[in-house]
Amino acid sequence: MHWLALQPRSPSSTDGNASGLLQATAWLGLQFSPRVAQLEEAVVLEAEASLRLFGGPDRLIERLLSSAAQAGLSLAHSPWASSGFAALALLRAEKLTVDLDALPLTALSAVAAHRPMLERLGCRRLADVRRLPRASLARRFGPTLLRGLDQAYGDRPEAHEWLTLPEQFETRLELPFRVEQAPDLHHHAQVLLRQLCAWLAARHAGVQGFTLSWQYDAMRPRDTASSGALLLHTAEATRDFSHLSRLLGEHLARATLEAPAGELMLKAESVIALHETSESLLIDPAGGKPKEALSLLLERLSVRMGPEQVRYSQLTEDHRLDCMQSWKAWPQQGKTPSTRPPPGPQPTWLLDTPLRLSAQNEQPLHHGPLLRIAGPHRVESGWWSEGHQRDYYLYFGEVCGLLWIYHERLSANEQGWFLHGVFA
Amino acid sequence: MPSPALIPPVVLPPEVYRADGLDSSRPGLPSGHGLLDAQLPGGGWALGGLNEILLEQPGALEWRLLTPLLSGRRDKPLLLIQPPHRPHLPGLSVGPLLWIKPTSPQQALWATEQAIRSGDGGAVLAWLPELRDARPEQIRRLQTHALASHVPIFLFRPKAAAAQSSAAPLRVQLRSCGPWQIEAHILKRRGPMHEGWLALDATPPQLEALLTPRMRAARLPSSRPVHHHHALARPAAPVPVEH
Repeated sequence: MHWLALQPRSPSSTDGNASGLLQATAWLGLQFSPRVAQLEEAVVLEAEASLRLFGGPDRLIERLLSSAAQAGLSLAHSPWASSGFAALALLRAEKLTVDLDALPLTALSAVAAHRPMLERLGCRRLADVRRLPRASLARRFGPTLLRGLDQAYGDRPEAHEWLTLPEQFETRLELPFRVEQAPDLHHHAQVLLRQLCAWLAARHAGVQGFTLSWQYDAMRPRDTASSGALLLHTAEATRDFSHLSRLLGEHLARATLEAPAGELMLKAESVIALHETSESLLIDPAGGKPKEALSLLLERLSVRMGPEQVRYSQLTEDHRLDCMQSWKAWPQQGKTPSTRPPPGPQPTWLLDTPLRLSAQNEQPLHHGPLLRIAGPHRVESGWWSEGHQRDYYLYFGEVCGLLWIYHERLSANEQGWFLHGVFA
Repeated sequence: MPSPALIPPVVLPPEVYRADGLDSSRPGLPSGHGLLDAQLPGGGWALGGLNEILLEQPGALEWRLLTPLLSGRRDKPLLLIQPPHRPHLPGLSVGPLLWIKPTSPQQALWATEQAIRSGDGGAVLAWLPELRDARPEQIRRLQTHALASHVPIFLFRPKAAAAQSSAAPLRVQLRSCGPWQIEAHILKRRGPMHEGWLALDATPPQLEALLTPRMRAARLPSSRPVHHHHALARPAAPVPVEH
């Protein structure tokens, strides 16, 4: 039997959220074995059956720790032991040996309960207790002491309540004090996020959207709602704690609380299976790996500046310049339809609204006289909606370069020149 | 004291270049304009550093200068930060574009810094059209981040910025010369001072098929003479001495 005991190192000892982190640790363990149980202040994991799958005991611990680091958890682990209680005892004693005999009495809870009496009998280590006659031990201390010892040494079977993974992720945290500023929620929400990341790791999945909601204090103004919520979306499914935490921080920095908040809830909205991809064997000819994926950058930009400020373009088949492409808020929804290139020359910049130019002798003016180079190119389309009939000309101006200017008849006796694009 | 002939030739480390030659320790990205490449250190645009381009008017010449480079980098989207107009994708022979539209100059600088730090994407093109948009120390900050980057970074700034100092290792001033040519003057490079203007043939690729020889010969009557000389290249006029 291969048992391992795990315990999260709490980021700060004053936090009252040890149970949440313990649960996250248990969920992380469920990636590697279905036999995971909570035993007193730690999580024990039995991995006999999955050792070969994960490449041996050392590789399993390595993978467990790296997956914990991704979920933002720092774990203390025991050496492999033959029973759950032994693993827990080794974890408590912080010893790297697997020798149970040398451990102090406090390592096993069943023994620690009778420590004063045992010490008076001259017992300092577990070996000293085992050397005492069993029958008298049972008579004097009751059956629990012997049972605990036997289970730790593997002489008697141990029964654990195996943990299972919930189907939905929804967890709450009572805040230790009332929080009045939204950015201050970030610290507490990180505990929930760690749990979320551990849960996702156990499901081999990533999250694409999650909701952080908070319950306002009961003593609040009458006209405020009872709770507030923040719905977050990531561009790609992820379970990277640092990414989610940074994203949440950006959102919380611009949120406001209407009243002091007392409780936090986190719910995973869209959970998507993550597929791991292999690294390329060949060296990237571009020279270096980017420090951060483009999607993370764009996500940060669109949170800080607003979703409409980061755009991608989608082409449509149309002859009208303004309808050939539309700029939409990133991220891209759906696939890009393939389009044929439009006929005729196309400028590289387009003005948002065509600029009416003044004219002199039937020739347009823009920052000085313009020289007509080519044209007209008639574009006549859109009879089904706002149709138009325009003659496009290529003009050159000393200051403004090559311009795409059209001439349009506006009414029976009015016509005008408009600047529509630039060939930069 | 040993005579100069006895001093052994000094072997310089690759990062050190002689002041009369170009720094070729870092390969550049070929710009597609042969005349310009010959004058740029490393034979092209700087990688791991800012390329600062000074323009008389934003939005008139950029794509003609950069399309040869950018059309070869189609696999990743280009980041356009605060372009002067709406980019018109059908007219651009480049890969996918992302248009980032900051609402204030501070945001534009922040977005540029983030884009440079991320180091992903095909290229970063940022427009800072006003002189007051970026102070020299802010450009220095961008340059510090650009040192570790593996994508080309172009900053488009106004002509007036030429009078300011800048941390960008390469600064090029551009102006148009007739419809089909652009002229470039290298203000700063890792190498000797550049004199005069380089006339680069740059017809927008979308217009190639359209143009006839007569159209190519078209000139504005008041257009500038073709041969320009930079002020520094002009022989100094003799100063009259007063007695």
